[in-house]
Amino acid sequence: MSEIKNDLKYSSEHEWVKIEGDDVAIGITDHAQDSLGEIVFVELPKVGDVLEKSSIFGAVESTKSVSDLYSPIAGVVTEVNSSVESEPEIINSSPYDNGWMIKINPENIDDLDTLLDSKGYKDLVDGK
Amino acid sequence: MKVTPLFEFHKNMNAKFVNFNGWNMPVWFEDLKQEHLHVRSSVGVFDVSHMGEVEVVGNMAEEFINYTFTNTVSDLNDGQARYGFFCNNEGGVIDDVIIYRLSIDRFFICVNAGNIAQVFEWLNSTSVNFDIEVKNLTDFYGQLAIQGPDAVKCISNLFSSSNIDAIKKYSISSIIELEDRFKQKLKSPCPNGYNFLIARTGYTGEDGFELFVPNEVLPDIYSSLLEQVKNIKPCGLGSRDTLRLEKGFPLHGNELSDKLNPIESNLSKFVDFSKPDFIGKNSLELISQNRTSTLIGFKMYEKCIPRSGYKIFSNDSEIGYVTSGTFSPSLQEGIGLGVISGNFSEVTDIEVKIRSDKKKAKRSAYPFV
Repeated sequence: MSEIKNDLKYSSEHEWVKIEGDDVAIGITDHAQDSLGEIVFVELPKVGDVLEKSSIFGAVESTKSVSDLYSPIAGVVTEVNSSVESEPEIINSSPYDNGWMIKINPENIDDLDTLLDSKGYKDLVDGK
Repeated sequence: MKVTPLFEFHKNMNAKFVNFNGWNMPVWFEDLKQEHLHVRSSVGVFDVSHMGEVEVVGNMAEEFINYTFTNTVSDLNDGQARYGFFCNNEGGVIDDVIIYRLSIDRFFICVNAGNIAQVFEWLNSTSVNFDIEVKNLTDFYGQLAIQGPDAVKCISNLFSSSNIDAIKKYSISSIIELEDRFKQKLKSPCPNGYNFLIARTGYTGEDGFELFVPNEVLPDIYSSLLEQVKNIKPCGLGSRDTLRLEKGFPLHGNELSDKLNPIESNLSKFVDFSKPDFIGKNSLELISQNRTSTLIGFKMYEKCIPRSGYKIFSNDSEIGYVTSGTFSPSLQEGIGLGVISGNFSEVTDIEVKIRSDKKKAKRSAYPFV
């Protein structure tokens, strides 16, 4: 079974969001990395890029397939995890910690309320 | 979705599944790359029971195959096989197949899963003037592909009284052990008497075998294979695809289709123009004299992955598209095949549009490995 962390918010596109001070960190869920298989390539935005809610901010690729990454909320990119660009397999081994992808400064922190909590995301994964 | 008799096995081994032409098939078990590299270095087993099996039987079987198939089967002996195409009148490919001569009046054809109904109907409707019968044996046979440099050793241990190493490349033979072991048990044996066939063929570019066995005993055979053969790794369709692409083998639907003919996909060595007639011959001859496109191989300069459907450019002109692409597990770089306009057949440097960026790629000969 894939892990779902209680203290995170989730999008229906299998991203997680974690509040870190004024910013939020974004990555993909354990379920997402498990479905993709070994990740061999990640394309991420640049610091300063402005993301709309649900806009495509990058892509994550396994040998078999490519998945777009959708921004769960609107904001400005403040940090990009260069480690996952050089070693994308970190996302497989540590999707919720070292495998974070970007940090953004949210346009409106209340946007987080539109996301799923862990139970809601679990129901989504279980197909409920 | 349809499943093979090994579905429960695969589920218990935690396979990841993918819908392939209406079949719920394992795409990988633990890890695609490991499965790929294991087939290159040792041996893997693929459940390819979704593939179709069709037989052409009768006095005019050879004549009929020579008329419908682009390659010749006239020089085959019993047990020998040949790769080629069933083409339509325009030269488009209905399917690419391996045809095995079981005997002078019996030819066994391995058909791609997505094309079974079409091939069967086409052969049937074409057969009206021939004294032959076309039989669809797809529901009867399951299929296992055992591929890799250790395949001979592993199969020889499993079937010790059959002289496995003596089966030449591109040949097929009956499996005596299995006939003996299962013949009495089969509820519905194959009408042709060959319940268990082993062919030294494959789709990975490695030495190996394809076993055609009755679906009803496939789970027995698969479990004894996994139990008795050390080192054999169950592999999914994901690595089957990367293995074939590294070798530059075409996939019907990607490099060949009703729109993509064998000439422009650089496979004319499997078209025998010396035969007096076969379906599509005239069109293919015309295409040979006036090629408008060509299939190329390429490698990406930087780390990125070309995918089927991405557009190919040369100096800002769109010149074609990617037919198959992946991140090569052996080479650790992006590789691909693509169709480009014949006007650009000499280009050496191209660009592939990946999402919003054009990425540089270098024309490459294939097989890539």
